[in-house]
Amino acid sequence: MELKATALPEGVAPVRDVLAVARLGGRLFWGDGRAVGGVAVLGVCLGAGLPLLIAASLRSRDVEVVLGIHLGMLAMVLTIVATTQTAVTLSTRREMLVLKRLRASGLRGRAIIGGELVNIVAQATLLSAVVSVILYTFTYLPPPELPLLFAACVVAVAGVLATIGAVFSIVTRRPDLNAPATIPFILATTVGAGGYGPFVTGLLPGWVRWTLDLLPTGAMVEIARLAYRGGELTTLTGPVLNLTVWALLGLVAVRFLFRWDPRR
Amino acid sequence: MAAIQVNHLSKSYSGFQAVNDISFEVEAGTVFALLGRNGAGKTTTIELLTGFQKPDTGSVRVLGLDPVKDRAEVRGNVGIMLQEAGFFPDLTAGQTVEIWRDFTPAARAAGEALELAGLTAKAKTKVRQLSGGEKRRLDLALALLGRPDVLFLDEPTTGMDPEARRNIWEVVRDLAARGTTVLLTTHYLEEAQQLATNLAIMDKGEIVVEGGMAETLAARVGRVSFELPSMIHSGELPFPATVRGRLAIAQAADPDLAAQTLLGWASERGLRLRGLEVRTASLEDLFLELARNDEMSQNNAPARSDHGTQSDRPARRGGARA
Amino acid sequence: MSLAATYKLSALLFWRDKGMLPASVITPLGLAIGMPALIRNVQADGVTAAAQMFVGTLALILSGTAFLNITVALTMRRDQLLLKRLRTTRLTDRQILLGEVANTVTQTVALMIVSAVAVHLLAAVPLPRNPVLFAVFAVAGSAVLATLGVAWTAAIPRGELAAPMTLPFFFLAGLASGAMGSIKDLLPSWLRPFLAALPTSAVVDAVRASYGPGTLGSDLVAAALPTLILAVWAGVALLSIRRWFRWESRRS
Repeated sequence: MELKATALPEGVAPVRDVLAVARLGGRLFWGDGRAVGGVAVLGVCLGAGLPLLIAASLRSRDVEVVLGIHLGMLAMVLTIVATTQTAVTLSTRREMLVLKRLRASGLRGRAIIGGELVNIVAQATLLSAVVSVILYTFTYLPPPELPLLFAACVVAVAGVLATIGAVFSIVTRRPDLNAPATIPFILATTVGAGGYGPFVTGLLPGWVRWTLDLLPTGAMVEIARLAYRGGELTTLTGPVLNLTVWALLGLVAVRFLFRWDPRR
Repeated sequence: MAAIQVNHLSKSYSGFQAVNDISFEVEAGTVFALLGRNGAGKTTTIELLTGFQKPDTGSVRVLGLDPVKDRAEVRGNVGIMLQEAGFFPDLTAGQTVEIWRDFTPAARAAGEALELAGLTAKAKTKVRQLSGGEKRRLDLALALLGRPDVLFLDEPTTGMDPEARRNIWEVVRDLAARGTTVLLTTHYLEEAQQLATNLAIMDKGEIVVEGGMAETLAARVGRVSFELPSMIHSGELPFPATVRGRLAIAQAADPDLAAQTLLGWASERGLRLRGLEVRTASLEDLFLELARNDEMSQNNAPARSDHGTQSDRPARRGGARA
Repeated sequence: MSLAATYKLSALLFWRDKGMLPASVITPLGLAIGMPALIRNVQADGVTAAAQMFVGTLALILSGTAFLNITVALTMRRDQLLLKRLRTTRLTDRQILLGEVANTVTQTVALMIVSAVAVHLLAAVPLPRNPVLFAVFAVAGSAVLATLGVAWTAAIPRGELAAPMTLPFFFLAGLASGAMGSIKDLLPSWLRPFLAALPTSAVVDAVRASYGPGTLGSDLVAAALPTLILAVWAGVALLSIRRWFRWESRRS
């Protein structure tokens, strides 16, 4: 993302521009009823369906298992909605020369990418909220002790995952390749977050588990667990550091490697 | 025999009448131009003729066959250049033609097709690196590959430079001379005038003018203009004319005859006519007329009944000129 | 001739796409080979568990390489008006789609065979006792999944939504066939028949029979229900394609 000299001092985010791009992305998404339907229905089915079914079939109440599956599925839904969607959206817009057109209108690079990310994060957060509320209503999973921490955690993780999506759109530059390319990442985040159930996670050798915990969704599980149970916030330095490092790595990669023109 | 027959064809999309009861025929071996402004219904007509869309009512016959029902058979004898269709961006122009040859029975050699479309030099270039005009030419190469009897060209020269456009015209003329029937849409009037023997002009889904190119233009008014000699009053002229500044302009069905009359009249009076210009009608005049009549009928919407008999064929009179 | 031509085109587009290979070949292969190999090394009854897991991961190959791949490729080509262009040629609609499906089936079956051999070498999982049963269901299953992928494109409004709208099935298929481990056992029992009725589960069941002990007779019995399930899905797919398949992106 090359920065052009403008009247704005370096480092000041052109908030109005970011929001304008976010609004554009939002209008494209929400204006398309079929798209909303497709993503929302499938996202809710995945995110709420499995924990619901498992809570219903367990003979005895087991909040731990339900919470584990809930967070695992949340990791999967967030990765699909944030990482995959961002990767595909950015490379589709690049291929269709929309990014170029936005740049031609004088918007700064960070405003364009920032706007797309804001829009995706909003979608992901909304979806997580729907999924969570369904679970609090229809299962014995209690709402988090620290709801604000949980919300902040979802927003932050969605942001980091979306930034990673932007990096994916650099690595695989064709829109039809992005979705398949993110599959290994989706599987990894889901396994790491416990989405395949305690059995699979338990099978993994220690070093694999340790590596998977380094993923942003590993940090999400730790923060979210604390939010659900309550506890001392100071224990969160590790996960917060983790998310910060991922965000920085992503931003640096985007800053130096992002391309605006389709491949020639 | 007519290569293309269209009978009372209509098509609407979600309430919008794109094509409204049109009929025409294209004789084998002729070039037929379908003209009209953007949104007039040209592309929908082509899509109906090529079997991409089913008509709501009416019928289409191409080489005596129904392009929807007998698609495979029709396709074997027809070349289509769509206004919008994708390419595989990572294949080269040459590879694209090679692959298309697999789909085409009795195809031309790849080199020949590229040569016809003037793309030989770009054979090894990836499609994503071609310019808009070059992609159009690749489109043409694919359409010509199967030596079609009928060729549909939807705005074939859009995005080409003038020289490339002339080359394409040459190719189309050559094909027509060898018996290929060509139906083309264009909004370059010069293109239609250069290539077509027959034409139809569409407006709002209907055909408003139709006929042979020469007859249609001959039936239009031409004009004669000259500098009005200083002491002559416009009422003294042998025919009515409007005067704009020093310039007198007269409409005439036969501008040559009007010019002769005018010269006779002038020599009788010992006058010299400066800046005498005689113009036969061009497609451009026809188009401007259509546009103006359309504007008038919109401006006069409440008083429309006054013009009722004329506005159903808005091109018939050019009375408002000058 | 024309079918061969569309097949060739699809194959050319698939294999010259170096960028696609990690996604559509290496991921499913990695899972189908890696998971059983992992299990073999960490569990006491390694080989049995690895064999069990391997057969389950075939569902991931089927839903990843056959279903997801063809759905994404076709929606993208539809949006880019490439399908429309193919229709300007003499090819019939059936030939165009069949070429895609045939090509997808080849890739999927090849991956299934490669992974069967690989887990044999790496995790000591035996080769199928009845290779014919294995092969028949590999081909039939890939064909049904690819056809379902073609049908599913009708539900997808735009190319960029193809992946998010298809990935859940990838997960569902893996879950239902046991590729995700025992999480399936946590689900309510009334759900099991539905999971077993998935086309991927049908293939996995038949393939499991081809690995397990049995005779020709018992194999035929074991194949009966999966055959029926695949036939129903194939019917559903073909009917939906007839009724809903779109060659161009929506205009509205």
